[in-house]
Amino acid sequence: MENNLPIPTTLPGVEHLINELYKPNPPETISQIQEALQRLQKSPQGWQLAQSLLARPGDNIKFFGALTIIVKLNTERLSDDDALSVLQNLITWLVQSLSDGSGPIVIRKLCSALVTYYIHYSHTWTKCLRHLIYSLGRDAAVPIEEIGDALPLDQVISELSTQKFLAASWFAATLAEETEKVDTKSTKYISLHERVLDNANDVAALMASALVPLDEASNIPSQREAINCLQAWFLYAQRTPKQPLIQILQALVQPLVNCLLVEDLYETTVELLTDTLSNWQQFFTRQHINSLYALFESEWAQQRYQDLLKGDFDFDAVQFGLFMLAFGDAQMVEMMDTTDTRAQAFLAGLAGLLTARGHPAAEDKIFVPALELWSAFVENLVDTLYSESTNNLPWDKPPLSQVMQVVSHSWQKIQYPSPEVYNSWDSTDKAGFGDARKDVADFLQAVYTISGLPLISFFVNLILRALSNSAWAELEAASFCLGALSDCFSEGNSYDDALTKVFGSSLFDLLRQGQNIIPVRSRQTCLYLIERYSEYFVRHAEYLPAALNLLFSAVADRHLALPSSKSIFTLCSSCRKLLTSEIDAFLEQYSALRNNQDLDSLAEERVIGAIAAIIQSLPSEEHKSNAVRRLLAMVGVDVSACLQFKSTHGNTLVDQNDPMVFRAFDISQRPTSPILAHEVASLLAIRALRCLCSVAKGLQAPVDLDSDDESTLAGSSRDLEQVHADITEILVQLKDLFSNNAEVVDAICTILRAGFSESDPGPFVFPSQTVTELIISNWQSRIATVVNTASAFASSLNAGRFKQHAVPTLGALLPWVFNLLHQLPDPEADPELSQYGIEFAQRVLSRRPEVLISQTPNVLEFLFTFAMKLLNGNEPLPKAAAAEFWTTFVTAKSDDPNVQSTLNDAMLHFGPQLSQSLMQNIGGRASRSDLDKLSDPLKKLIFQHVHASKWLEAALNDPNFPSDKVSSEDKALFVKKLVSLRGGRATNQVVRDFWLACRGSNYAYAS
Amino acid sequence: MATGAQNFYELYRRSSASCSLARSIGGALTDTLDDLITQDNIDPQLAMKVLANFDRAIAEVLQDKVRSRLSFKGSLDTYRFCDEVWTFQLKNVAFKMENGGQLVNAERVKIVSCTAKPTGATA
Repeated sequence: MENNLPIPTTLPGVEHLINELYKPNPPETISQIQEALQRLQKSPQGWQLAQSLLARPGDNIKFFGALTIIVKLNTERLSDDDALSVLQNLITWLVQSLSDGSGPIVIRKLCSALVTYYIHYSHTWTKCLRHLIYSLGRDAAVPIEEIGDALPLDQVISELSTQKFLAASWFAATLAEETEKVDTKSTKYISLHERVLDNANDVAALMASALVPLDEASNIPSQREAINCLQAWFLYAQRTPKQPLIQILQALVQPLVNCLLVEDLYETTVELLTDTLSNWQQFFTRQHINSLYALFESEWAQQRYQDLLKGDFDFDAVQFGLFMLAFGDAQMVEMMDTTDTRAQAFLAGLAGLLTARGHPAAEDKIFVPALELWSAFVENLVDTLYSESTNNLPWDKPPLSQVMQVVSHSWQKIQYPSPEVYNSWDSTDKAGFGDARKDVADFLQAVYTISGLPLISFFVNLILRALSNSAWAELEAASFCLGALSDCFSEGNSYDDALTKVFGSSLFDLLRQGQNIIPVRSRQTCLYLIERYSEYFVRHAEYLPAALNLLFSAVADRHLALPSSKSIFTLCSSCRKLLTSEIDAFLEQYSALRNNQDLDSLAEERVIGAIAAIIQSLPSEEHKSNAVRRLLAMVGVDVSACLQFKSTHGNTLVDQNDPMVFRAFDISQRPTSPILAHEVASLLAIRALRCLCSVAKGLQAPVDLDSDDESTLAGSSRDLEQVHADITEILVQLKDLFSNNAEVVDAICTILRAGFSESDPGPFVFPSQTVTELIISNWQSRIATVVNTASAFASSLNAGRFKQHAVPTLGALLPWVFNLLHQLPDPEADPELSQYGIEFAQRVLSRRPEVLISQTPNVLEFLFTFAMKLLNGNEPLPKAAAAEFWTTFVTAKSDDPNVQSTLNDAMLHFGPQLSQSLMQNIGGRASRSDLDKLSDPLKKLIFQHVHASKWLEAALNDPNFPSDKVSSEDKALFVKKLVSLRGGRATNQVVRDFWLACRGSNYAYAS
Repeated sequence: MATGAQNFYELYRRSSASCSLARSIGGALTDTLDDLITQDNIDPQLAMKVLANFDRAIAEVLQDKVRSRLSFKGSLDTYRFCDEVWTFQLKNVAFKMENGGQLVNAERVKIVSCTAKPTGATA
């Protein structure tokens, strides 16, 4: 930035500028002032300026003086004599500032300046803290040579005023903080860290004087600062582990623990202890651990513990809980030892933390962290029990009995409160409570690995007990827990007996009696429970009718529509083979459901998809076609209504109570006044198409059949052809009218795609000509999605069913795609279309190169130029797609000698251009994250083509190469490395290194 | 008053960079920082700090905030444990999304897992 502020030549001028710097000024002014002051600081007069400023009144002025000293120390090298002179001055200014009423910012900055001095000139100031303390004691900078180990430091410290003690503590803390940032592994700084260590005893003496006061009168500010200083030294010792230092600091742990009992020091102390226990457990000796156990057993701790359990979730109370958890984390191994009674007692206390009053997250702030600890504990327990049989574990003795107690506490805690209480929570509390329930589910899954059946039985019994007691909140929580365990079940029926107790109980009957009996939330969870155990119903078809009847009866209830429809879909999908004989009943159920004006659209999609899954299992094509036609007839009602509304005049309104308006809008979005017929039409179109999507997905075969099974080719019956015609008619009609609606286009594409992966004929496995005609027809929006669908279609053409149609189909699709790309004003005008278009070309090239090569020279020239432009462009996704296209092109092979010859000629033509583009990109033009993708064509090029190194060298030496940071030798070496790697994986790293060399060291900040 | 002694892995800076078209958050962030350096808007030291913060934040967010879960089943092909890093290669893996969601199949899956606290985080 250009600076138009002149550098002041007088001290008042500088002072004015400094004062302006700290006033609210526009950012440009601040920048200009900063720039001017920085130039002053760096000038030869900087030392003199700092000295003058530190002698002036005003905290800002003094602060800037100290800052100037730091800048000078960091940027200039002084002789030892000059350095010592600076040190004496700094201490003098510090002493003066302590007596002239300067604010803490000045004192702290001067302490920082002293530490900066120490980092650069520690050899001249080995006993830095001792010297500083003596100087503070004498109110003057004492000559360094007067300081020796024999001097009575403790006495001097005890005589320091609070202000002086704080200054010494700040210096000691900053010393640890700043030297911790200096590389501990560099040989350059080994001596610095050794000298820091030489001061550790003095630091400990300073801290101990505050933490263990000789007289009764404690000084809270000094003690608090001593704890802060200790934190800095703990961190330093952790990063630079030296046994003597650790031992010195360990001696201060007991005095630190004692500070917990001082109310004013509790918060600072408990945080330091908690952090250290969490991050550096090894620091604590056996003696410390014993002391902490004694602390937790003390009356003081018991009182805090009880306060927490009674629902005191103030900051201090929660901190105590976290302190307990950190200690528990450090004592994990001991707590698994059944003979360690003290650890077992503490473990019981940790279990008790889960019984604190209030609902997790919303009120109880300790539940989630406590449960996290228990999850970790159980995982550790699993590791130790791994080799043992889980059949004979002592579940009645600690620690396993404690685990079961936690299970018991947890499921009780996650019971929902009354709706009034729940609704009074804000969204964060509700989400937190929901997350806590998920944490419990995680925990239970961990417990399951050592428990197995007993845990299942535990929740089964709770469900039965809740049913008999009509305890619905308990029923909900127990069902949630049992549902959470369904993921743990391996294949088999070993737990079916336990589950039969639930699914054979009165549960289904009670659920069918409506929400007068069981509240909505409990019913929702129970319905999900059926879905979670759908495999059970495959093995126990006797309970399937009751379950499905229950679910279908619940779909009509808007509170239960989503869980019940989801369960219907899962159950019908899993048990499709068992349900084929009931297909008529299902179709009738669906027909009846459609009469319900409040039927949710998503629920309907799931139900119709579920029925389609059963249809898929019907034994004959005729049955399948008939059933699908019945479904289509029902969907056709919506389509007809949609067409009718669309045919009306543009301003025609429909009454909001019209039954088709109810179909168009879900209950929560219903209009309250007449609405445009065209809007209703487009919503009906979307609903009909989404139902068709669901049918198409439901009809997909559940397992992949052999795609080369030629026998399936003959399966196309007249019935099926008629179904194809019916569906296609719907798709074409809706496309012609609504393809300006993105949702309609998406739905039609999804329907088309559903058949691509199928190997057998089916209602949605359309003839390739039908798909092609639909794809290349006129679309008003989302053309990129249609091209992407064409890509998926091109990939599916290799399957046996479509193989014979591949060439004509691709021959029709290719010109359509190229024409779309040709219409773009430039390749990056529509990145999505460019990306999918080039992906389509890549797929054709990889599977049927002869089809691509058979295009006219003009078209091919356009395509390759287009792909080259994308590779040279900035749009990341099209660029990646282009890189993949070129990778495929470089390796393209054909059995046809004519095609291969054309490919070879094309390679010779485009090879130099491709090399040029790749080298421009790798030479610094590309983004860092593009490099891996760009390495792919490069690797193939080097491996496949004899001319590659020549092309690459020419590209690197091109006058337009984007970087001047690499020499000709570097470029030659780069090519040499690439060639020697022969396209191996290490090429990626070589490419990254070269890109970095071309960009320059400014970009070396990231690995 | 966190001691802040923990180191964080840098692996999320380039996570999923090898996926065909998916750009990782870390990759996008690094590209943006590169652009800002090119435009002289920031210096590399700041970029380094931003990335260090990203390493910490992404690790914390993935640990504390992400609640989505999935389970998967597959055949364990090979596994190894080297330098405190477990590597598993699985074949024919079926991923089951949360709440009985969609099933996703993959022919091959590689899982790299490191200890939550990198070595050196604690002395």
